[in-house]
Formats: sequence, structure tokens, C-alpha cells
Amino acid sequence: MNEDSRTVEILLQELPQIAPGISPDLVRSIFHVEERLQFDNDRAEAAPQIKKLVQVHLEKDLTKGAIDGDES
Amino acid sequence: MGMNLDEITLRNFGPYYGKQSLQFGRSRPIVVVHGANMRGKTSLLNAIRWALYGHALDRFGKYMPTVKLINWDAAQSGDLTMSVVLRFRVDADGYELTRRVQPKDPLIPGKSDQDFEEKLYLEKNGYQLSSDTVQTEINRILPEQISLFFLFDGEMLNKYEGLLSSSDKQAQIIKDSIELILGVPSLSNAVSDLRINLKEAAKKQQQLAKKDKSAKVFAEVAAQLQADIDQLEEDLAGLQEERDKSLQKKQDLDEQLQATAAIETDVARLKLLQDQIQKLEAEQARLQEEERAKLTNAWRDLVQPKIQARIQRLEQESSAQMDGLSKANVVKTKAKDLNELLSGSLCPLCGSAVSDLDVAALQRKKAELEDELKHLSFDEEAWSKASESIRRLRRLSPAGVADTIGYIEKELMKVRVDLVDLEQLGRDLNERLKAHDQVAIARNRRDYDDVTKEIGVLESQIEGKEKLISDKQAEATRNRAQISKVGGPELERLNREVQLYESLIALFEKAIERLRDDLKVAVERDASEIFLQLTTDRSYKGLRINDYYGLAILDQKGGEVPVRSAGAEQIVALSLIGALNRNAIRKGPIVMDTPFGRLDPEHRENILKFIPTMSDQITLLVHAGEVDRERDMAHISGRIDREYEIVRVSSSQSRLELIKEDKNGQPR
Repeated sequence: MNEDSRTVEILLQELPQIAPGISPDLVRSIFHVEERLQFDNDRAEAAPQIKKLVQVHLEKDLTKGAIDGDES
Repeated sequence: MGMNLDEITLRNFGPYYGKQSLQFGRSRPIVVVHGANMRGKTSLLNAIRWALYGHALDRFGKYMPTVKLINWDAAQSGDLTMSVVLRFRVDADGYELTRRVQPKDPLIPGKSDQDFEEKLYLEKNGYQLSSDTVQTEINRILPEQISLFFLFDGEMLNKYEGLLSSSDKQAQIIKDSIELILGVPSLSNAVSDLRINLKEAAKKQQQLAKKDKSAKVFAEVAAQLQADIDQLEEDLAGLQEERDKSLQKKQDLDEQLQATAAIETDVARLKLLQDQIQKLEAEQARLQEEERAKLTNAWRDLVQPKIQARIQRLEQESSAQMDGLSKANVVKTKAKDLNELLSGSLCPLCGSAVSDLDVAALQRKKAELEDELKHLSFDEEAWSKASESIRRLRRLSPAGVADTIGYIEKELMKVRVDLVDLEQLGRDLNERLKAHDQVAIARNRRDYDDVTKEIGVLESQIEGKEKLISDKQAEATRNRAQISKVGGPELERLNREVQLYESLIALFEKAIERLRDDLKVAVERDASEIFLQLTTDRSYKGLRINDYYGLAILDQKGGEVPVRSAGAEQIVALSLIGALNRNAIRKGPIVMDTPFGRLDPEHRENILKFIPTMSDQITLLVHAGEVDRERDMAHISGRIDREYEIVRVSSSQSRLELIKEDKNGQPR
């Protein structure tokens, strides 16, 4: 079995129990950053790339929350 | 992602003088390279390793100096340029990798690696990649850490299990490599990176919370907790660094001790010998002392006949004296009775009157007795002297030491012979040991024991620190939850960010746990299936995996089989490698050097049938002693693409010769 399907499958299976508010796309994206960089000697760019993904997710979440709040 | 080798071209590499090429399987998966020992099979495996990673390994798994890889004849003729070109494909992409070394200064002949410069080029689909990305690209295709499961020496297979069950650095490297080939690091790296981001977000949250009236107190606690965690992590890093240094030291010492193991055995034998010699010398001294003591009285046995004769004479003398005394007493009594008779007129017995005639006869008798008495003398002094002499002489009775001395002499002779033998052995051992620094070897052994203890202490300290960090992190998480709860709206975004990281960390940690569990189940299942296919022993049920990916053989009742032969170790290791390849995140070509060395024909047949299923491409480097070209090759004849022979040109040169080729097959 290839790493992508096996590991992502586990992450997405656990997601509803552990962090139901987090989108599967964010989890997949973080995993792909690590998968791409795992054999590189310099992995220093991994954390900033993940930070960007999290910031975008957070932005969307807050915007959505604000819209939902305005609508209600 | 799957790698397939097309061709390797060597120039002045190992025994391969000039330029020589080998093509890998295209229409069928297997390529067999036949070659006697010392001809260049391992050099071929090393050429692939060197092209990919820049170093070759010796039989002990240690890096070899590059300068030693250059063909001797080429170096002698002044050509110190060595290169390997490897052409391969990864999925649809074609690559050409070139690694070359040449002297830094063409006018100065290179003697060590420092005198050479290395050039590395990689072309992908005809375009050359920039030099700084070449090694990264190679690592993405086939990471060096997992190459040990693709490019391996069959002779080393039986050591895998031993390494996995040990606690040294090599075991950790293999375990890490196994987790790498199975894809665990992409999750564990994610946890590390998420923690870096969490720390940064928590720090910002903490700074903002300090300005918030309700959250201020928790912000201070958070600052303190973070300072504690930082300090603990610093301590932990220090301990881990120290542990790693100690592990390295232990491994270095272990290698040195392995190299001097025979000398250590000789030193131990010599010590034992010296103890035995000491005991024999003590025994010799004791026997000599005993012999001396016995000899002090031994003269008695020599003069014993004379003493006995003397005693006999003295006894006769004494007896004669006693006889004289006894007879005199009888005569005296008779004389007394006669006197009584003569002084009266009646017979004292019958009361009859004694006649004058009888008186005269009695008078004559009395005179005879008095005469006899004169001759019966008893010399008391002489009798007393004789008795005393007899008593003294009897005290000088025989010592009876002759037999004892004979026995002691025999024992002494045995001891002397043993001593001569042992002393000769000791001289031989001393002669052998003279060439070695025994003090240094003894010091290495002491250092090895000390460093093993140190590692134990460090491991326990590391465990303690990790537990403390984990507790503090849990406390920090609870404290951050308090900040989120009581903090004002300006903290909202940071609170969410912190919570997001915490949730992601929990998710990835859980995934690591599950992935490891799933992988162990998969590896155990696949390794068992392969093992049952390979083993000829039908009493085995399968294999059981442990936390370190070590595998135990199970009998039909599910109990672990305690003792395993070298051949069984090889089968178990091959089963593990087969299972890891099935579950690997990277697929690659397998190159096996001397894969059947320890196996009997039946196991060889099973492995030959199994090998084609291990990978799309397999290269076997074999010698005549481990395979029968006709019988063994028949098991895989339909899967062989081509066969090569390593032909001896001279003691320092070999040539690759294509001896069989499947011309009917279509390129895969």
C-alpha cells in the first residue's frame, strides 16, 4: 500500500473524534508538506509552510464565523 | 514512486579497469552475475552505492576511503580518475547519474581522499539538475537510510535480528530505517513542526494575555511553564547528545574489541594458565616438603635388618638370664626341702623314720644341688640393660616410608611434566601476545563496560526528563484553556490558533500510534507468509513481531522457538526485508550480494522461487559455491533477463562478460 492512501486514511478516520472542527483539506495539506520534505536534508521550510496553511484555515474560519454571526 | 535500473558503467572502479558496462533486466526481472570470490561482486554492489550516495561499504558495514576504490593498475599507470554512471528510470522519468573523482592537482598523485575532488551530475529527462539539488533528488527517489533494504550483502542478513535485539546505535539506525521505509517520519515530523508553530503562537497568546486583566494570572503561569519546558528541553537535548556520543563510543569500542577478540581470548587463557602453573608449583612444593619429611626417617628402613638382629640377640640374652633365675629358684627350693629333711628324723610326706642310709644319700643330693646352684647365676644388671636396649631398639621400628616416597616421586613427576607443558604453552601465548598492546585492549574492555553503564544511566535520565516535559506540556495545555476561557475578545484569534495546533498535534500523534500498530500487523502478516514459503521446517507456524521490528519464530502451539541457526536467521531476515518491501513507501531495485551463502539446496530453491516476487528488478551476485548453474538456475530460468560472468584478467583486474541474454523478451 502506498503511504499517501494508508496514512491519510488513518488521519481522516481519526479527525472526527479528535478535531471535528478542522477541515480534512488542512490535514491533507499538512501531511503532503511533510511527505514532500521528509527526505530533504533541510526540512526548515516545513514549519513555516504549515503555519501558512493554518493561517489561511484560521482566516477562513474566522470569516465564516463572522458571516454566520452577521446572518444570525 | 518506483526506481528501475537500466545500465551501470564503471571506469577504473575496484577491479574493473577502464570502462565496463552492465545492463539490468528489461524484459525479465532478474539479472545474475556469476563471479568467484575476490573477483568483484561486492565492488559491483558498491559501485551502485557509491554512485547514489558517494560511499562504499566494507564487509563490516563501514565506509571505505574513496582512494581505495580506484583500480590499482589504473593508479599505477597514472590514471587516478574513477567514475560510475548509473542510468535509471523513476516512473516515466529517465535519469543519468554520474559520480566521478579525480586528483585536485593533476600533477600531484593523490594518496588520501583529501587529495581528490568529487563531481556529481544528474540529468533528468535530458536536462541537467543544479548541483545543490542532486543529492536531495536522489534521496527522494531512494533515501540512503532505506537503501539497506534494497542493496544488501547476504552474508550480513543473519546479523539483522541480532542487531535489532541489541541496544546499540546500529539497532536504533535500523529501527529508524524501518520506520522510514514504512513512512512513519512524515507523521512524526509533522508533530515536531506543529509543536514549533504552537510554541510561537502560545508565546504571542501569553504576551497579549498579560495585558488582559482576567487572563493575566494565567499568562504568568504560562510564561513560567514555558520557561520550565524550555529548560527541560535544553537538558534533554544535552542528555541525548551525551547518550549519542556514548553510543558512538560504545560502537567504536565494540568494533575495536571485535578486532582484538582473539587476543582477549589469549589473554584470558594466559591468565588461566598462570593460575594453573601457580597451583602446580604449590603442589610441587608441597610434595617436595612431604618427601623431605619422609626422608628424615627413611634411614630406619635401611638399618632395620641390623636392628632386628640386635633385638633378637638381646632377647636371647634376656631369656637366658630369666631361665637361669627360674632354675636357681627351683634348685633353691629343693635344697631347702632337703635341709628340712636332714634336720628332722621323720619324712615330712609319709612320717616314716629316715634311715642313716637315706641321710647319706640326701647329703649327697644336697651337695649336688649346692654345686648346681653355683652354676646357675642371674645377672640382674645385665638382664636390665638388655631389656632397656630392646625397648630402645623397638622404638626405632621401620618407618614404612619407601612406598610413600615412591608414590610422592610419581606424583612429583606428573606435576613436573604438566608444568613443562603449561610453561611451554605460556611461552607460546606470550610470544603471540608480544606483538599486541594488552594494556590498551584491557583499557578498551574497561571503557566498554563503563560506557555501557553510562548509557543505562543516561537512558533513565532521558526517560525522566521526557516524562517531566510531557507533564509540563499537559499543564501548559490546561493553562492555555484557562486563558481562552477568561480572556477578552482581542485574544480570540490567538486562542483559536493555539487550539488548532493542539488539536492537530493530538490528531497526528494518534495517527502515528495507529500507523505503527497497523504497520506491525501488516509486516508480521507478510513476513510470516514469506517465512512459511521459504522455510522447509513444517513445524513452524509463523513469525511474531516486537516493538523493535524484531521477529520471533513461532512453533505450532504459538510458543517462541528459542534457538535459531545462522541459516534460520537468514530466512527470518529475508522474510522481514520481503515484508518491508511490500509495505514500503518507495519501490526500488534489489541487488543481493552472496544471497545463498549459508543455505542448503532446499532453502535455496524456495528462495529462488520467492525472489522474483520481491521486486520488479532483482540482481543476484553469486559465486559457484552457493549456486549450481544448471540445477539452481533452472528454478528461475523463465525470469532471467541476462547473465554475466566476472572474468579474471589478473590479480588486480576483472572483466564483465555477458554470457546469456533473453533475446525473445519484450522490454518491460
